[in-house]
Amino acid sequence: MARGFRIEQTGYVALLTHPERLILAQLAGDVLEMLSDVPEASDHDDEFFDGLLAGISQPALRPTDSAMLRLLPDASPDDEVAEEFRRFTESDLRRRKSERLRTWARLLLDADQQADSSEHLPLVVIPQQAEPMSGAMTDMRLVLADRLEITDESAAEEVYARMLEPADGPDAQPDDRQGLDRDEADAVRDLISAVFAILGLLQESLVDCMLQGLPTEVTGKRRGTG
Amino acid sequence: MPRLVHGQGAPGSEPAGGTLTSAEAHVQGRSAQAPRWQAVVWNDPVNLMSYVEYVFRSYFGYSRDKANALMNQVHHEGQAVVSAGAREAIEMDVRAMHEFGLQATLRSEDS
Repeated sequence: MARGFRIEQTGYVALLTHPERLILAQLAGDVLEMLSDVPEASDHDDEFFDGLLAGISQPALRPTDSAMLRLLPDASPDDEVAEEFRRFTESDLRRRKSERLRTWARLLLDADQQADSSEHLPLVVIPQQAEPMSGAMTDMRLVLADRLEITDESAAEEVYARMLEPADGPDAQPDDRQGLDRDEADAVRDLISAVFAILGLLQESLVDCMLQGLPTEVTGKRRGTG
Repeated sequence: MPRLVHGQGAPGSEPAGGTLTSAEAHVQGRSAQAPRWQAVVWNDPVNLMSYVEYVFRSYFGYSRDKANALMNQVHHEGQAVVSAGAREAIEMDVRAMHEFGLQATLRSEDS
């Protein structure tokens, strides 16, 4: 099991096995793919108008997928305000979120490919990268939580408890389930739950490092630098 | 948001403070007429409490106590107003909250 981030000389350092890195990078790739899938705003086939409208800020369609709505949320319950906000911010938000997911995936895949699968290798995040990497982990957790239908905090805590503190002994979870489909569905759900829990552990420990790196005095707004 | 340029005059020119004061008075006079807007952050079951506190401290530059109080308000009451001001500035805050992965909306103080 992965070990969370700690402050070390080289930066914020976590320990992950090769399979853990692969599955996290794979998930980052999945979220990247979701972000690159921009719904067609144009509902007509007129090439003339398409050409004319190219380059002009077109309305961005509200995502229909609930996980995408967590990544690109409505900025207002007022449809008109939300649509205008989306039109002017969504493509930039997609780009920034995609960029940091790519960096996160590269960081994960950077380690020694020859490593033994059980060997824990350091994953180093330099302090300047910690915020975007934490943001990438947030986006991945938002998507996983949607897939796991986590709608309240107790559901999220249940997943952490089940995955990070396994029951004692091999008989703790009697396997009385029947049917292959059920087993497969459970296996997928367990895998998603495990990744959600590992990401929670990684992000929480990274944020602890980041909080220690913040100045203690009030610094004032840094609007516009994000 | 650009900072007001000050302190760049030649030595002996009017002190920056005087310029700033009149500029501030002008801005305040304008904002008294325009409706003020608020950025609201909503509770969600995914974002970690420590991360939300980090965002409020890091992005808004709030003190630890203020960030912690706002985070608790989001957690227990379901939402909190995290900033207020001119619409453009609040839109920028909401956009930043979305980039951090928080659920945030803007609303007019009149509504």
